[in-house]
Amino acid sequence: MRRAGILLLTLVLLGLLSAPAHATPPAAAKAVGQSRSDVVAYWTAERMRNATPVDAAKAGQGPKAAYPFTRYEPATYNPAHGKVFFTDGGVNYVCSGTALASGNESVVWTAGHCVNQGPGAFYTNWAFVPAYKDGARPYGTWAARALLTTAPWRNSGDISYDEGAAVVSANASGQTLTDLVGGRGIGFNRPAEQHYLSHGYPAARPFTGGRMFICEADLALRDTSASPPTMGIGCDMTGGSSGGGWVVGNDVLSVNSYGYGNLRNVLFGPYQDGVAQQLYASASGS
Amino acid sequence: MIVRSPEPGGELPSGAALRVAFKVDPGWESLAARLLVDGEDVTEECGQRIAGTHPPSRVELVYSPPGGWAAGTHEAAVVAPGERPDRWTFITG
Repeated sequence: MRRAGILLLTLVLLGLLSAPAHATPPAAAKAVGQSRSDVVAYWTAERMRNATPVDAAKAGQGPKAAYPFTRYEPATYNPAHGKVFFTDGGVNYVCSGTALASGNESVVWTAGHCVNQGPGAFYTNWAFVPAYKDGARPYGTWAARALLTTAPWRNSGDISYDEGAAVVSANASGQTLTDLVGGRGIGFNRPAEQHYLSHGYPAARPFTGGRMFICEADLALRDTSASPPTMGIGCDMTGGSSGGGWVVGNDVLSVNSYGYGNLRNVLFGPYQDGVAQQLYASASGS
Repeated sequence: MIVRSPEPGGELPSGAALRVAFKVDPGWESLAARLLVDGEDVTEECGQRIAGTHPPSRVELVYSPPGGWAAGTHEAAVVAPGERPDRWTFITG
């Protein structure tokens, strides 16, 4: 607790002196040079399983956490939320994502570091599996045809703009993503003080990565060492939850982005401002 | 190392944080590298941001002196076991 207190004090001190916010540069995008069928074929059930450890976690609460939250597995999975798979440097990774209502009906919203190294290359074999559950893919596997992130993430790995998007190809039947699974809305420049439902597929221990979880929590703190400050909520989801949407009402207002090594059970996500709005517009038009 | 912010010779606003990000191996558990600023090991004073992929992919050290940066030129160095120190300078205020 004392260490957490010291960290928080540090964050506040950093933030009191932090630099002004960025202007709104354009999004960075890359068309994916892989066919839909190649990506879908790459993600065999075995490869998906191999990305996850074996221990299981139960739903729970955080009574000992500095910031209260409730975590549970939803009784029914909303298929707008799903699990993300990709490859970087020959290693297979998992993240989480959310299908958004959009003009092209094909946008998946996630974290910037789930599409691009920041700075560096965009990933390969990028796929979204709505409502994934223990290897089951009730709505199929959706391969990205374009990956996008914000310019601050693409250029300098700026954590305040750790937002990413994928535009996925239609499935083999010609259906678009949100035609099949529906889509969440998205909000920008909303008040940070909200009651959030953070969705994700935590895969690092003690989780398995096979189930969707939701952390319900009020905004707990702002990380003012980032500019603009990111938002923090109580939550004990682990690696693999990155990119999962923070939902208020029906709108995604942030995504799981990072945690601090010495601050347990707190997840941070970017505040979605005009830069995120531009990214969404770019993805919707791709 | 994938991010040095500011970059060598770059300017850091007096209240902003020095950032150093690393790409980590899938089996990563703890950071072996140390961050030195003006010759002092500040690793323990850094925030350590861990991206929430699985397996781990990225860790970022974030540092700002409690009293803010003194105006002038500063030297940062990342020292990793078995590797030559990576040193660079930046300017504040």
